[in-house]
Amino acid sequence: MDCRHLEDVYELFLLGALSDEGSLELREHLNQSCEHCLVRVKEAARTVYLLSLSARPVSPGPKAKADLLRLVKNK
Amino acid sequence: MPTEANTGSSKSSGASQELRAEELLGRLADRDVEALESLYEDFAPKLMGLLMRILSARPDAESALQEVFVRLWKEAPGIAQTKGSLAAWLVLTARHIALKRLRAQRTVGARPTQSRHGQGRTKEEKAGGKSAVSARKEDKLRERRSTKGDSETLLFLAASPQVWMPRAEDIALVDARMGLLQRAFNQMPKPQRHALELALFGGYTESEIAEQLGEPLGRVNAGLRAAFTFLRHRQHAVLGTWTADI
Repeated sequence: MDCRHLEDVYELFLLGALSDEGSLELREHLNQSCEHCLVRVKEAARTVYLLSLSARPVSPGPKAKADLLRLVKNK
Repeated sequence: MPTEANTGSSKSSGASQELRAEELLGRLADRDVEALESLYEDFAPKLMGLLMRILSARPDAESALQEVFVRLWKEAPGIAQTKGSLAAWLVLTARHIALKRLRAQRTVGARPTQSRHGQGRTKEEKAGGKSAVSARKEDKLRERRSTKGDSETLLFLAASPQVWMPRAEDIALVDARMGLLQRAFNQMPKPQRHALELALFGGYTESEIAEQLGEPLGRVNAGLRAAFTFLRHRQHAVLGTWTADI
């Protein structure tokens, strides 16, 4: 299947910025296990990871961690 | 865009953190609370920074952070089986949890134009060219589009981590060369960076970005694609993966 037209949209798809039609087409294509696209989607995830870390780190409050641990222990 | 300020201390510490995370994930799958605590110590500041950038309010960001780690706790066995990068899973999951909340907030009433991400209103709106009624109609359209488009990506991310999660060693390489990558990304033309940030931190779709910027959709589409092509080429150059990934 010719998927060259999908080449530039993997990052936009992972960001949720692609149109509904484009997202659906890409998902259906990935379901067909296209080797090239499976590599590209991982590469796109790496890019989204990198860009997301451009935000400056912020320490959460101490209560946030205590609340999480309490919640998890009670589950 | 990335800045020097957020690169962390040493470049190699990011790589070793990624490798340590994989070990902790294995323990987490065995319901080890101390492993969760260690992962929280390692990743919470990075994730909190991202969540604050998207949601602004600290209580909202802390609540989203808790949701990320509760999901990690529940899904650890499945994530471990994928053999992918835990750091990437955490960051992409945090981003989507935050955007889901942001969009819910918008649906409740706040106009996207009042958010912290964009210039806000289109040129026409700024000039008073649209009535309140037509602006409300546009808001409703925007909310419907956002929710639907977001669902497609959310469904994919939640259901198919084995498909999209990069390998741990690839993320370790990115972490090790973060400074170089950031310098490269800062060379991106400002208009493209701005459009990219609206997608990245504002959760807007291409058509919403066009609306925000008052630009034709085709121009925004082309600009965003060019931005990602630029980033892709830079990454290949910095990471030395021109042939390895293809």
